[in-house]
Amino acid sequence: MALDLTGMPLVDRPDFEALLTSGQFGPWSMEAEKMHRDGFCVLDLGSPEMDRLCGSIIAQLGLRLAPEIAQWRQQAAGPPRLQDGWKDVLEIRSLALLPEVADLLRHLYGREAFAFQSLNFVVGSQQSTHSDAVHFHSYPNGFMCGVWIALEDVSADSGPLAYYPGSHRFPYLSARLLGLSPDQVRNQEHPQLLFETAWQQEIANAGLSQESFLPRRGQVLIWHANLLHGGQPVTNPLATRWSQVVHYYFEDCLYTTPMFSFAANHGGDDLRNPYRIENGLRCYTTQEWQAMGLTSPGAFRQASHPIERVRHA
Amino acid sequence: MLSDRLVIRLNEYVMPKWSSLRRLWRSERAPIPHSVPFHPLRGGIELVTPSMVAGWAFHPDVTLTEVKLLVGPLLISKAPLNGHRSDVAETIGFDGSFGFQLNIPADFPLLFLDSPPQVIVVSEDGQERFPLHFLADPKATASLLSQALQPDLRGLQGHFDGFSDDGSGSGSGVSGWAWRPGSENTTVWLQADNLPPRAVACNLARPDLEMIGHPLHCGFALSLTEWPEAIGRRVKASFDQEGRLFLPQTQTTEMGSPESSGIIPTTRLPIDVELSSLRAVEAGLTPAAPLDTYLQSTPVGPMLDTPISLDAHWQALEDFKLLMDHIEAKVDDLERIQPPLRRRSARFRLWR
Repeated sequence: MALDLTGMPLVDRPDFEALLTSGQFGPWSMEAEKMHRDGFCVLDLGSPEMDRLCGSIIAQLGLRLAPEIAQWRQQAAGPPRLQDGWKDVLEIRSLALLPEVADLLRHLYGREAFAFQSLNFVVGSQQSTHSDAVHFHSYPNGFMCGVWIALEDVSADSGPLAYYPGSHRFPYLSARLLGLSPDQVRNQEHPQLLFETAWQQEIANAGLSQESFLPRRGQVLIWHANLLHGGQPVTNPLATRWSQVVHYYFEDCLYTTPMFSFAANHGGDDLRNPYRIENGLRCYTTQEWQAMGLTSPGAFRQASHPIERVRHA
Repeated sequence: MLSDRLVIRLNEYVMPKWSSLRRLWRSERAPIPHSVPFHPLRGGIELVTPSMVAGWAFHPDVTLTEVKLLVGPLLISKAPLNGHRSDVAETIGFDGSFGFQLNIPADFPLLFLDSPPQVIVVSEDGQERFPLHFLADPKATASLLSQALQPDLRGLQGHFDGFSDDGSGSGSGVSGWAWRPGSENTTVWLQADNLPPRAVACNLARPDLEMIGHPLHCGFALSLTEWPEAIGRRVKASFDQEGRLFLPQTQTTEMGSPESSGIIPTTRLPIDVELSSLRAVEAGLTPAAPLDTYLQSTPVGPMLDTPISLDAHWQALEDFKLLMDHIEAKVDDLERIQPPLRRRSARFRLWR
């Protein structure tokens, strides 16, 4: 297999305006413009079929996560969520493979996208502001994005998704770039905390303001790999915020965890071998991985943080 | 009967052989899917640094459009073949854009590359691919590219500005700049003929470079007085200690000249003067004949008349002489220092 480790997403290219004028983005020109300028775009995929999928997921996860939901309401535990529910809930898998989203991403990025992770939330995550690109990223940079799907109408008191338009233009951060050593990251239970000061500094310097997303069921927000986002506080503990986040990578890249990527003398980049939700298999076989001259994926991550202690809004 | 047997013989033995011969003949004459043009490619790689590969390519029969840097199945970099090169146009007698510059990314994540790297130039339709070789040493192409892709060098960029002469000797020297994205400490190596490489840190302020997007503290400089043994020698700057990946430079650089430096080339001082001065300094005394005085008063002498072709040999002999003199002086010093006698105790003497 061949990997193309050159170039950048079409929406990030310096000649974006020329691409837009030439019709490169087909029917998705408005979304491309929004993604280029603000780092996100919104689709309305409301339909009877979408309603059915959303309702089915809520019903199934309502039962499955009932103990966690009860604990949350008693303030005895954090917000309940389910990671990679696509493995055994068919409807979650279907939402992760929406053809409209795949078509949009193909046009906006110039490569084929594939979903590799799903997260289902019951209530607002209240997660602090962060960029997904420290948790999972790609080489070449930028070939990763998040898709946030509202499974129900979201109210302001449920801790809605919040983001900083324009923050996707900030530099991509990594442990190497911040000069962090493996020990510093290893000793931090939530390594994302090591990056938060830098993000807040960037926001203050750029004078960006926060916006929140109050969608109807079936609306979808697609965010750029580096868009700073988080969850607003939940002011009504009884309010739910049923949602599904799907993370996408793009073909023919290398996939990394910048939070665990250090200088060459400290082990270099942490490489990932992500799942393809489409077929349930890892992206590379062992033979392909070795043929590319790669070391075992995620060695540092597996040794120091068996379960990546991060939460996504 | 005979004819029947002959036919059988023919069918069994001759025909299969004949048909395989025909098959072979046909296959040899069959058109090759990607035909190799008759004319050879012209051009190649002229410069390899840890941040770029540059050169030119031209083929009279094929329209070449793109150059790629590959490592096994990984496409590391690609660039259009669109640089105008008047020198190339003049050489080959065609006008066009034959130059290329491939950028090597600094943040490329892989530490180990199993396959040998190669640079290829591709035709407009993607059907024709030609490997490009390093023009100065075609056999070294893969190893040179591998060196450039080393994780500790990858992405280094810089320039060797050459020698500047302010006439004082102390201010004259070589200078340049180098840096790597995401790295604060950069070192380059000065390579003079027949001398070991000299490491120089790139931490001097260069406001002129900062204005065009480089970091402020990326400059390096080395004066004649800091590297006197290199005076009169050709000097280059390399990104690597081995001296394989050189910083781009516009002209050949010589580390000063005897006239410009005001310093006698090579040993500068007769060895006895130098050593006695050094000993005096080490002992905290004022040298009888200060070095500066000696430098100012001593004429450059007949060494300037030495044939240039013998410079290197003469220099090597002088260096060796200097080394031997230093060793001799050290031995003298050691012989002068006698170890203190051990005083044995009375008990030890009684025991004996």
